[in-house]
Amino acid sequence: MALLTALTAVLMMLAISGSVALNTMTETTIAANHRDALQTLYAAEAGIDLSIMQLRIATDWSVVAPDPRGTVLMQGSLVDLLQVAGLDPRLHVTAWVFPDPNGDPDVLIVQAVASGGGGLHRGVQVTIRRAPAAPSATTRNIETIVWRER
Amino acid sequence: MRNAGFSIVELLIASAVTMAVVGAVLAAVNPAQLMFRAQGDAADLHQRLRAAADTLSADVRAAVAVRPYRVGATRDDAALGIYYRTDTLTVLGVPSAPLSLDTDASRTYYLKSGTAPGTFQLMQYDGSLSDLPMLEHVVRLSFDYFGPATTGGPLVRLEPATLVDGPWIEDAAHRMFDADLVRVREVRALLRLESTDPWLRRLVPDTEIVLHMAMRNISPVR
Repeated sequence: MALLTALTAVLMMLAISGSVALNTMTETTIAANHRDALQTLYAAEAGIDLSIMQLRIATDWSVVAPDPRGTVLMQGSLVDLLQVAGLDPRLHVTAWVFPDPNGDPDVLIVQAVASGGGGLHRGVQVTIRRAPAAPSATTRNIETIVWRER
Repeated sequence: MRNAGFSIVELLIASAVTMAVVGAVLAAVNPAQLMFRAQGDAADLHQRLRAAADTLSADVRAAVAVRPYRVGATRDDAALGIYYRTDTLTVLGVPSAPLSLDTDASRTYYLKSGTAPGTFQLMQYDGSLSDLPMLEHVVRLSFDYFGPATTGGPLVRLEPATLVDGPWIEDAAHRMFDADLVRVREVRALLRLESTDPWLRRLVPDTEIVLHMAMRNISPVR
């Protein structure tokens, strides 16, 4: 009788602890996926910011984005692109530039897609416009007209 | 010859020992069962928080304007002369669905009293006829708005009084709004959720998150 009771108790505790362990692992995986998805989105935004930094020094945007189907502006791991240690090495960013469909030479569409851990992909597309050149200014301000997640 | 068997005293002692063992086992299993239920509830609470954080932040990121009151075809706050509610946020100019290319939808997030007393639901109103609960068991929701000070510099909290004192301007849909709302660059949301099971609230305490959400479509000139 005592043996039967002890065995039942051990089995019940095993079942409960097994379920708790499974729940914990599932919850940890969900939380990690959520964190990775956010990291990937921010990596795509970093790709947009890096692209705009490059575009700021370009004098003629029609040379930078000649192809309506898109021109790759940058590609690589975020660690290499930013030259910063401590970032997730799985994050890769590709940024394309597209000319303005309406033909405005001071408007560009920049699209960045980041891939992260677990095969996640997040993309951001912005339409930017360059302010008219001031006579004494060396660089021209860039304004975001439209920002959207893709 | 005496028949083999147990005396009443032996049976009583055996029963007492068995009951003590079974009692001890149940005493050990019951809290474990409670912890098991609590763990599932805690996971549910975290998932609800993640869902709320994702939905709210995606909409604020994409919004071209925000209003601290309900905007839409039914129960429009501005029509009632209400221009500020602590627990209400409307995002304007957002896609009608995630990843959609249109940008002319609006959504209002607000707190509504739940079915049980003292509980609230986070509601999502699409500006037309759809007004649906998004989250249950919300304890608290509040929104704060941040923008540049009139003298420039870093973002400061825009006091509620400044968002209802005018001057008033008209938007594309001919609705009047306080001009200070044009200064809003960031929305801060405070969301507090509770466990769905009142018996488990001792083990699963209320959880609160604060979201700082920058509006990407109103970015400063770089």
